[in-house]
Amino acid sequence: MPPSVLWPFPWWTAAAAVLLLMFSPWLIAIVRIRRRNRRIEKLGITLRDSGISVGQDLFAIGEEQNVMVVSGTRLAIADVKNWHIVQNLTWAQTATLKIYHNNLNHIEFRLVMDSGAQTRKLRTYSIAGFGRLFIQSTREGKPVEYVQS
Amino acid sequence: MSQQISTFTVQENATKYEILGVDPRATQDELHVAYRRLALLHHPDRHPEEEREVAGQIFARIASSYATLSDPEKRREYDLALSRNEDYRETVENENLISLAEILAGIGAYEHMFSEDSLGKISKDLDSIVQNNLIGELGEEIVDAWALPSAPSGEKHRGTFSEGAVVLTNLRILLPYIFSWEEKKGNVRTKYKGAGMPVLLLPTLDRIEVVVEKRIKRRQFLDFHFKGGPIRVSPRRTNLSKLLLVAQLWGILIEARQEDAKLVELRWALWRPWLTGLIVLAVLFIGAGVVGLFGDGIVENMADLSDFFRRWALLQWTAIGIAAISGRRLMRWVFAYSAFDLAESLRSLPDTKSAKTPE
Repeated sequence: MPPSVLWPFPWWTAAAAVLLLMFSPWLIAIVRIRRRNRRIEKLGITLRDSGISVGQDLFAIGEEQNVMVVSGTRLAIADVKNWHIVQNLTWAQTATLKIYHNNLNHIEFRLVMDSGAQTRKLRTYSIAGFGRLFIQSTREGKPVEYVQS
Repeated sequence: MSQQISTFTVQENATKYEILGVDPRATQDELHVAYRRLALLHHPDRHPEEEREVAGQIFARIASSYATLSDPEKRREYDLALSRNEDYRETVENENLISLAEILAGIGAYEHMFSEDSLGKISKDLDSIVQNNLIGELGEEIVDAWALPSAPSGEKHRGTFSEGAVVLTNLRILLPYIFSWEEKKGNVRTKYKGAGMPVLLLPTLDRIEVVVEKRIKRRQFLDFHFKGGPIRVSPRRTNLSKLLLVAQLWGILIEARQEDAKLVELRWALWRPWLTGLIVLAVLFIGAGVVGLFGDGIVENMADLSDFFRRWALLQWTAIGIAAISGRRLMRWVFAYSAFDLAESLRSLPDTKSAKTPE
């Protein structure tokens, strides 16, 4: 029987290739996640030391580079690509929740301070998480600014 | 078309705070939202002739309560009278002369978020249904619109669902949808189109629940809870920030919930690509066999067919292709379900205070 044109190797090499293709991404993901989680843990310790309390009302919002952690009256913005805390503030220092309208599926927002300074722009796909921030901001009596682009 | 209006009873001895349904420590903004909501519901102009008298009485008490509580001086006197268990006497004039348009006047402050192009994503048919139903005299304007892949829950229609949308206005949530069916009479087939549009008046909503299902292939549901029971829709858009703004305008409670489906998504990563691949391969096999056995196709008998598959290593390459897809999905699954977020990480930290406490 002539050998196969497109796979001239024994059958078990195909099985090995399949296993490699299935589980190498899984292994890569496990290694990357462990490294990421270790860094997140360190950042968590820094955040706790900076005054963010661990309570029932603690939540984080934001995907990609910038993540906002909210706990009671304290807020912190962390950069999870460069692993440091960008800003540490309280609701009392903030003036407005600014939401950017786009026709995309994600929500972009930032907080504006009393001084006029602004936090980094945060992006989230989670309406559930953003809803919590929105509700808390409303409870704190912060007006919402809607920017239609 | 369904429109829900809540029933409202006011106890004879209810306080003004109880009438407006607010806490005695409510801010002016909270009072205003509560008043706007109740006034729109119970304004006599919105009720049929036979209910107008009762609605007028309820409305008068709502207007009187708001008139007292929105004036800081009168509110202080009222609070004092309340704390001493005394009667509070006042005269409120012309409550019934307040027009609906006046009550809704504050809504204009939100006009910057109304978007003229927000209906651009839904069809002309749905657009015309919505435009014909807007209440222009109350200043109803479209805020946002999202396409729907299926009819709102509980809606029964003939034939098949064609298209639908959630249209958010400053007063209502409109759920227009179009369905179609065919009728055959003799040799003549006629296609028909029908439309439905459940309408939810925003002040009648108790709460809106946003449910996000799964982490990779996210599916989002909106449950609108009102006295008639919840209506569930599943909009295609996930950016619902305008819904939050409108809910704030009417003081509607918003709840958000994430529902994980770890096993379902693991099956999607591991099992689904193989199942799809096997089906595709079986179709190819049968198709090639049919072509080869019953015509002058690429193969002429089963032996040739298996030889063809072996020669071009179709099984190997299909398996490798499927493994690549499955591996990538598995990676996404690990990231979605094993990555800590900052809040989780903080919660999992050991309590240093208790650890450091000396004995």
